[in-house]
Amino acid sequence: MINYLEKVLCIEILEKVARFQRYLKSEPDASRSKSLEVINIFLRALDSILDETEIVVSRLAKEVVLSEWERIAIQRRLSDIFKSVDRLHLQLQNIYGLWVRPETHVFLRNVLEFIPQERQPSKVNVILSNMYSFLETDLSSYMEDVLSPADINIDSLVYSPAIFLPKIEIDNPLNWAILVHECGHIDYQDISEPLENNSDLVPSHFDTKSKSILKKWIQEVYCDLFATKILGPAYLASFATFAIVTAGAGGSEIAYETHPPDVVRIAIIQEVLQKSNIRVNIPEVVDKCTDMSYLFFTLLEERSKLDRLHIHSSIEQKLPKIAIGEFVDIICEEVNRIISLKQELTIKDFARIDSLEKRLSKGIYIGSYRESQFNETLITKIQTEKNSCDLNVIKNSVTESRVLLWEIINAGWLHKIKELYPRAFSLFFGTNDGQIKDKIVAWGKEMEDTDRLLLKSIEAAEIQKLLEEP
Amino acid sequence: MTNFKSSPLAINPVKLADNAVLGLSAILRRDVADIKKLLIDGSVLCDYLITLIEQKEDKLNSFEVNDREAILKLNINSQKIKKNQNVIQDLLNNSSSHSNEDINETQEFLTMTTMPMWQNRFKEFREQKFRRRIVFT
Repeated sequence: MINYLEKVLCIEILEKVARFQRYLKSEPDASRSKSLEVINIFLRALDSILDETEIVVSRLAKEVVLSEWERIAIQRRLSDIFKSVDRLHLQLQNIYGLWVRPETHVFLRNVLEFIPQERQPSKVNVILSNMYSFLETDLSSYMEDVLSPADINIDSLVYSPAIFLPKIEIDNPLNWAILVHECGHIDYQDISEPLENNSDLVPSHFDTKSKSILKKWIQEVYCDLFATKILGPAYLASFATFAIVTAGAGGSEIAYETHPPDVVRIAIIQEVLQKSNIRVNIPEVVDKCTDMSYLFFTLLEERSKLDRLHIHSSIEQKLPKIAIGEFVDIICEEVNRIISLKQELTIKDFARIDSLEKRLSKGIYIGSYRESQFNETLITKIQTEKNSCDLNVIKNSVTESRVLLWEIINAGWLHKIKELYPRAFSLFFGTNDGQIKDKIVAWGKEMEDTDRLLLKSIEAAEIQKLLEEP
Repeated sequence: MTNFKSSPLAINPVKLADNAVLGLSAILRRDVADIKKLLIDGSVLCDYLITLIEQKEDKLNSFEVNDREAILKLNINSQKIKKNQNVIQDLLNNSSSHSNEDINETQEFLTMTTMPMWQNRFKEFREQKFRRRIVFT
């Protein structure tokens, strides 16, 4: 498909606008005239942002391969448009907010269950954030820090991990995948020592600042691998789309004191998935990409490649003087050795993803799933081999077993690639007829239906789990 | 009460360049509907670039000072800007005296001249995002 990267980038940003509109309209006080005026100001601001996308949308609708200069122009416009969405998101402090959905808590509870009992936190708080960033912090010490300039000490505060979810992602389980990375930060507190004391990772002759940067990077890589081991390719998909929209001006190759460059992180995740042979098959929308994680890895790489040609922001910029390849190899090996989660995903666990996606595409939620049909072959087998027929085979063929969290999120991402992107492409770029403001309403409705299916799936899977528990 | 409307809207040279590039590409594709405004953006950008070079620094606001520094580093003079502005003006006047190579060169000029300005603006945005992370972690 031509101009796939730019189309995905555009749709991802339009999705954020549509989610923003939905969030504003679901605001509890929206019906009150006082708040309505404030909300209308936000909606008008979003309309202006949408107007800015028209030039990009109408060019992509031409179905002619973009020239190099057009690609840069379109990517720069889209990056700036995302920047304006991000700025407006920060202003959500000016309106009342919704409470966190119960499904988010169920989602996180399922994630925490991967952590062995001795390290498992009993609860993680979720806070809807005005900033379009996914963050983790200890709320207690944060409050102490807030009040310390006023010379106030808070007594008896207990460690209280909290995760911040951007408000417009309130009902988007596909992007909750990034919350799993944030849970990794909580787990890391109890596991950090052997990694940070490993002189192959943090060489003892380094200065204090370089050591401190490396320790932060180790933590980030740990959290990425934590999320990858719990969600598989869906985590890479979610993180990569976030990285693609914030990648402008060579951004994905810039190293920060707190984070390694996004391209390095994505490459590590991709390598780990490849080594574990974990993949979700997709139709070949981009040349040679028949695996979900490889598709998003390729898209980010493609975006970075264009920046690399024209922007001089060396990847070495702020790095401590380390050999990045060697660092990556050692960190992957060490994290693998140390991470010890209760369960390790294998390719076998992903066997049902395709069938689950087919259900989603029919509008059926996927809280539970029956492995195989009670078919003629099985009936014959039972009749002829009464004594030798495996009872489990019979049981599985008649029971709807619980669908697991990572299956729901991976099936959701597969559904997005197979069904949602193509429908969005045809809606926005299929024709130049119609106003973008009408199209975004139709698109918003479609996304809402998919979100509902996924939320319902998480809820139903949880009910099934409770029923199955002794 | 502060009226934020009273503060003048800053010129966004990157947006002007990108619009002009898309307009010029439409000419190359012989798809010339609604391109006038896009080309005008290109010409406005050239005026802005010339102002940056010729204006004394103390008459510029902070954004403009940064943009000026960026453009001076690229070794771009007013003549070069005017040459590209002429290409845009001729196309606006429906003159077909410019080859595809001329148009391509102007696209490259607009993109690459504004690249450091975009980098500055976007770098700030990304750093803000990461600063927020530092606050919380």
